[in-house]
Amino acid sequence: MAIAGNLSNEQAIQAYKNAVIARTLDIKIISAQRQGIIGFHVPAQGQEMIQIAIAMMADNDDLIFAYYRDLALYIQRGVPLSLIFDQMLGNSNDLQKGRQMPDHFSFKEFNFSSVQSPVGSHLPLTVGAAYARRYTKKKGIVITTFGDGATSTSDFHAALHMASVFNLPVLFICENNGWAISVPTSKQTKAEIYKKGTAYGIPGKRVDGNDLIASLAGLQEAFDYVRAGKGPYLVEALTYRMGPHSTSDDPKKYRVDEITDGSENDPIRRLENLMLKMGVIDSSFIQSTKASAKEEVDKMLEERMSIPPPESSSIFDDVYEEPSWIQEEERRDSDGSD
Amino acid sequence: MYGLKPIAEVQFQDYIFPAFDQIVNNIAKMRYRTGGRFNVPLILRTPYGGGVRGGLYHSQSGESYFVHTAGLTVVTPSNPFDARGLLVSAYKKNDPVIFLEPKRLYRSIKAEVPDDMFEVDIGKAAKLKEGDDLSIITYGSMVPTVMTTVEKNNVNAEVIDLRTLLPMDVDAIVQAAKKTGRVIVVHEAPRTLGVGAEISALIAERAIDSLLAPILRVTGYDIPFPYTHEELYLPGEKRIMSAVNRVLAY
Ligand SMILES: Cc1ncc(C[n+]2csc(CCOP(=O)(O)OP(=O)(O)O)c2C)c(N)n1
Ligand SMILES: [Mg+2]
Repeated sequence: MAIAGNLSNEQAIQAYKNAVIARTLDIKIISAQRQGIIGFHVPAQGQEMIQIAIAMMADNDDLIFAYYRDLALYIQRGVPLSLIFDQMLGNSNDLQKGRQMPDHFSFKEFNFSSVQSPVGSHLPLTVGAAYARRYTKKKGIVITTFGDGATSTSDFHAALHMASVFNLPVLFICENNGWAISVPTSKQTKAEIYKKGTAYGIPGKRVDGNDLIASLAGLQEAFDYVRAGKGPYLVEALTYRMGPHSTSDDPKKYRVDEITDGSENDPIRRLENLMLKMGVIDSSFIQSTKASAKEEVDKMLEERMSIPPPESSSIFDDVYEEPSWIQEEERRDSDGSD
Repeated sequence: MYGLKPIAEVQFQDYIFPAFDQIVNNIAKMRYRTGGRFNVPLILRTPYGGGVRGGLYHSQSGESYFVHTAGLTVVTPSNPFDARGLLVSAYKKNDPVIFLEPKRLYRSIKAEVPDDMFEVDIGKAAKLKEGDDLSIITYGSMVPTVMTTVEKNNVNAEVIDLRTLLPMDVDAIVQAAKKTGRVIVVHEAPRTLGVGAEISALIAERAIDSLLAPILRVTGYDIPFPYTHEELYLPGEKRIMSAVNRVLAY
């Protein structure tokens, strides 16, 4: 059975389950942040469907440069909750050894690069990575996500330009959630984002990023184009930031409209309603999916919280392949205390 | 600036780097390269430093990048009074000022500030505490840490708050070295080529005969700013006191 096009019932159910896990995780992290268990969080609420669609379309060989608000993307791609929590907590199991703020993930084994904070500055990296792929004849394309605010950076334009002039396999996906902290998209750009590639010779497309089916259909064309070696492609996914910019932000200061959980525009609710209508799921399935997501997420945080922080002297590692005398001396002097 | 006096704010000093070319190659050099016919009367305010659990990209102390650039003026207040006074002075300047605000102090200190448009001179350090045994030269985010450390441990140190990092108050630095002969520099930025290196060189060049002990630097480490262990990165009482004791025992 297919829900639409190539999307089977099983795939849609899996996407729904992962979206619910991402949402549950998001809510859990926010409450853990309020309790001082996790330092910070950039919620992905409202943006789950486009992120899930990207992960569904991507092959394992494709390299992804995600940004800091992509929780559902990691989950759909198979990153275990344990590793996500380990990074959020910065514990000794964190693959990055507690070096980065929460949400700044790097999952090499899942073909994710590394998230940084400076907005847009990962975009030129995608160009270099795509160049290297082609040069070394490696399989797969390079995919990158970023916000509407990032399209105002010079790095965005440099990346489009370079990717285009070298005809590189980069799929640029803007998650336009309507806001860059307190700046609405109307003050961010006069032109439509998906048209911004035109002058660089890059085709663009706008998709409804809150709708799984529409996202998949729109992405199909973009993936086909890039995989065929025709060069880069720019997708603008219209979505919505349901919550605050981050746990340090108070949106009441600048924003009145609010899509809250349960709204008909909530992307998870939309998929839910569609599947209900088509008889793919029933209300007891929804309940049990939410309940088991909550149980899984609660249990996992409980478990990961007990993992100790990394060795304090490890802060001097990885500055270089081998520490210079400077780090060695400072490590000796520090003896692990202030 | 064609009739304007811009006061720009960059949300975190870490995010100045995308604009570094503009700062170093245009803003800092405009007066020089036009033979003094154009100038850039800009104030660029930006929060810097760690201690707010901000990780790599919300914690850096990048003052050396700017202090190394002739044409810029670099100031950093350590308290509300200086913040206001330095801002007024910066406003009156016809050259670009990088105004570094120690973000950890935004919420940790409070003080009454007069309403009038008083000024704090750019290029002048402040002596925050008199003392005879040694001189501690510091600035910005480390000032409260140094003050509480010396008070708590009854250290007979004079404490100097530089306030301006470019141009530094060379007289205050040299006088301090001549007075006590024992100098410690404390800053949050990494040690290598930090402001402490310049202070040490100025003293070595101008007051070496007065020195009774090596000049010691208590600084952030030469590593990117860590997240989980940020408290290990920031110089604190223990690191400052270990330098004090070494210098006094020398
Ligand atoms: C170069 C730079 N300047 C400022 C910031 C502070 N900042 C963090 S997120 C953000 C908004 C980005 O908005 P957008 O690209 O739309 O992504 P969203 O957060 O909405 O997902 C800003 C300005 C930053 N991280 N980097
Ligand atoms: Mg946005």
